[in-house]
Amino acid sequence: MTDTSRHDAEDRRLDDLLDLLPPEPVPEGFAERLAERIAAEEGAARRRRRFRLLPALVSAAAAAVLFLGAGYWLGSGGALPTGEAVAPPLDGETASLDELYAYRDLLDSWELLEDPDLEPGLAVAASETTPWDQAWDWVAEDAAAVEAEGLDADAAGEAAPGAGVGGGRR
Amino acid sequence: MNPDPDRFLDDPGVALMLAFRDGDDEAFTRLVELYQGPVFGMLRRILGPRGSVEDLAQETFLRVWRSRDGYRPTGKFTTFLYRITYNLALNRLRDEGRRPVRPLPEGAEEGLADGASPDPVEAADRGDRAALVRAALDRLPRNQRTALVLQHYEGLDLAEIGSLMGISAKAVKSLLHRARTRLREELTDHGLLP
Repeated sequence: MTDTSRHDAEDRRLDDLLDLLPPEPVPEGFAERLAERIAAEEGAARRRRRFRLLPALVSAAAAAVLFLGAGYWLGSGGALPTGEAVAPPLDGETASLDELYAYRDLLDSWELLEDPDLEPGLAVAASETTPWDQAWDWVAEDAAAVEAEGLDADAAGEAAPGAGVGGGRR
Repeated sequence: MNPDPDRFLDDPGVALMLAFRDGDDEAFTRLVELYQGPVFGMLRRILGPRGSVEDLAQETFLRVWRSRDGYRPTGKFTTFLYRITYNLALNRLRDEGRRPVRPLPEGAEEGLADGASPDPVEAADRGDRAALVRAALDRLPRNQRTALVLQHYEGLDLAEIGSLMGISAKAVKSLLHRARTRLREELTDHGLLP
């Protein structure tokens, strides 16, 4: 027997011995347990996919709310700011009658001119039938009357005996 | 260059995997039925007798299931399946950091369970011999044992084993030669070989 054939024979005997090992038994229920594990993984993957969509859904919902809100506002007569010039705030002490007239809508909205206890001169000025010059005169007259009353009161105070310590005219 | 996928359509595993990829879930069930035995056998022979291999077998098929959408046949299905199995077995061995040496199991149940021989005396003898062979196999270094298992039990050629283990066919041939020599010596010592 040559070396090669002897070697081949030894290999065959070794293979025969290796063939003595039985096939590894598959545990009963393996396929079912595998199916359960796959189902669990599939469920988990589905949940992950759902949560991955959550931020997008929230963003879409927020956008929809904004869109509907804007649509409702515009539909109900609202208007977007146009950049139109707005009158500057009114300084009550230095405003002219023309300026007061420019603000008449605002004053109307406050119902100031409807109030009889308020400055009657302004009420007259708001009247479209009264000339503005005359109304302004009336306001000036009223102001002068108030000032005169104040001066009279001061003069009366000065004339009164003992009025103020060292304040009287000597 | 990718090999022509049609080359592998005759492979039953490839055909089932392609059917599974195309939405046939029943094909996956058939794959499991067809290949669960080889997967268990390979895991047991590479890992040795200790510990359960079912979790690794499950993980193997789970990975096959996960790879459904991206599967492209570039070789035999068993090459694809055994690569997964081998990598999982290797990871287990690394994790455990253990050598595959084990004491000879009591009773040699594997041989007795075979039932190939009706004669109890012969069956016991056969079982004893199988236990000795298994013990000798388990004592081989991991690479030698893996190469021998893949060649003898799974029927892979040198190139396939090399591709799976990440080594050249020449290195596989060397591993197999050393494995056989060592196994032959050990079994000769036990009187199983002249």
